[in-house]
Amino acid sequence: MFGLVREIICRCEEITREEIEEAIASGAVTVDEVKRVTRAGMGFCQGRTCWRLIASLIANRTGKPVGEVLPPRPRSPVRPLRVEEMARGALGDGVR
Amino acid sequence: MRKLPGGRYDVVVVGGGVIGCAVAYFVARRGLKVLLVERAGLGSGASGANPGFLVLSYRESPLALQMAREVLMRLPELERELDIGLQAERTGGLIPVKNTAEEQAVAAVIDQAQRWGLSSARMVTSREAVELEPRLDPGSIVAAGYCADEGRINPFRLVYGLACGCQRLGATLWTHAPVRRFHLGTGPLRRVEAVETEDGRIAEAGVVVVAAGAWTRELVRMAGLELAICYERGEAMVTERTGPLVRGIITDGEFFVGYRDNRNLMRTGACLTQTSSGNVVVAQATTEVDGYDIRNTYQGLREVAAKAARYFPALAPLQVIRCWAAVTPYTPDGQPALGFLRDVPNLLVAASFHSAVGLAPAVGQVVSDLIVDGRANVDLTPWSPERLWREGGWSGGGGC
Repeated sequence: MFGLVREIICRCEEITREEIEEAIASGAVTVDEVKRVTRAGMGFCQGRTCWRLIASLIANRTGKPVGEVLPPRPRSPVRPLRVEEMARGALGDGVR
Repeated sequence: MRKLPGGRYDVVVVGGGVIGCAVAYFVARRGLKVLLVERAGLGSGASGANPGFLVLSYRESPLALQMAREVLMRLPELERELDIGLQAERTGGLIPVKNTAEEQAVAAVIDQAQRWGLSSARMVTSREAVELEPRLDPGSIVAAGYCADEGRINPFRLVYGLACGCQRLGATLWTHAPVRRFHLGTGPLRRVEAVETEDGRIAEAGVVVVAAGAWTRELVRMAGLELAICYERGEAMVTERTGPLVRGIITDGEFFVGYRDNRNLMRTGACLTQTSSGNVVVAQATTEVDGYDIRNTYQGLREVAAKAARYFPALAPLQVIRCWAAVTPYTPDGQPALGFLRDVPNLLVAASFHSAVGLAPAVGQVVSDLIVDGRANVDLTPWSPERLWREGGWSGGGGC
C-alpha cells in the first residue's frame, strides 16, 4: 500500500519526486529548468517550500555539491499581492 | 584557456529558445547532424516568458500571417510527432478598444488581415464582445476586434517538445554553454568555421544558425557584422489559479495607437489569457532597453494591473504570485530577420519574430529547407537580414 503513495515535492502544484527526477534525467540542472519542465515552484508559494528539496535532488543526480546548484531567480512580489493592491494609484484613481 | 574538441556538425544552432529548438528539430528531421548551443537553460529568455499567444489578426505581414496559419493547421500533427501535450487551444482572440482612436486603429488592422485572406477576423460590438468574453466589463469598451481562429499554447511544452524531439533524432544539446567566439575563416568570404563556448568546447560547423533573440546582435557582431537590431523589455505577471475568467487571448487595443512613436516612453496595456492550469497571465509594459535588463518596474506593473482589472473586474481580488520581464529584439521596419548573411555565407540569422511561439515550427521548416535545399517555398526577401546592415549600428526608434 505504501508503495503507491506519491511523494509530493511541490505541494502547490502537486509535483512528485518522480516527475522532478525525470526532468533532471532529461537534462535539467538548475531549479529554474526543473520549474519550466514540471511546474514545480510555479504555484502559490513560488517554490519557497520546495526549491531546496529540488536543489538537493539535482545535487544527488549530478554529483554537484548542493551549494553549486543554481537557485531559482528571485522574482517579485515577495509575498502574493492582490491585483487591486498592485493597481492602486495607477490611472489617476485610488490613493497614491 | 581550456580548449576541447566538441565534434563536427552539419549545423550548429545558437539559441535554445523556441526558434532555435524548432530549427534544430526540423534540420535534424532532414537527417543532418545538429548541435544546439544554449547560454543558460532551454527557454530561459523570451520563449519562457511570454503568454503563448497564437496570433493571426495582427500579424505584421502577409508572410507572417501565412506562416502562423500554417502552424495552427499543423499543430495536431506536430503534437503527435513530438509526443507531448502542447496544451494548444483554439480559444479565439479579442482586441478590446476603449475609444474612437483605438477603434479606428484596430479596425484598420482587422481590415488589413482580411485583405491578407484572414476572413475570420472582424470587428464586434461591445455586446458581442461580452458574449465571447462573459467576464469582460461591457462598460469598459466601445467595440473590439475578434478572430475565432486564434488561441494559445503552452510555450514551455513547445520548447521542450522540440528540444526532446531533436535529441531523439540524434541532435546534441549543450545547455549552460554561452558562445565565447566564432572561429572565422580567412579569405574574402569569411565563413564561421567553428563555434567556441565559454567552457572551451569547440564545435566545427558546416552552417551556423543564430536564433538567439536578445543576444542576436552581439552574436552576429562576433562574425564582424553589425545588424540594425534594438531591444525592448516586456513585463508581465501571473495570478493564482482561479475558475474560468478569461476564455481567449486578449490584446489591448491601446497597443495599436501611436505605436512606437516615442521610444523613450513606457507603453502599457492589458494583454491577458488564462492558462490551462487556471492562472491568469497579465502583460505587458514595454520599454526600450540598451542591454539585457530584465528588472520589473513598479510603474509598469501597476499600470498593467489597473488596465487589466478595468476590462476584467473579477481580476481585482486575485493574488499576483509572480512577476517577470523578458527582452526581445526589434528591427527598424518591425519585420523579422531570416536568412543567410552575404558576407559570412554559412551564417544564417533567425530572430526578431513577434509572437514567435506561433511561428516557430514554420520558421524551423523554412530554415531547414534553406539549409538542405538551398531554397524555401516562400519569398523571404522582405525578411532578408541584408536590409539590416548598418555601418556603425543603429540606436533604435525612428522608422519603427
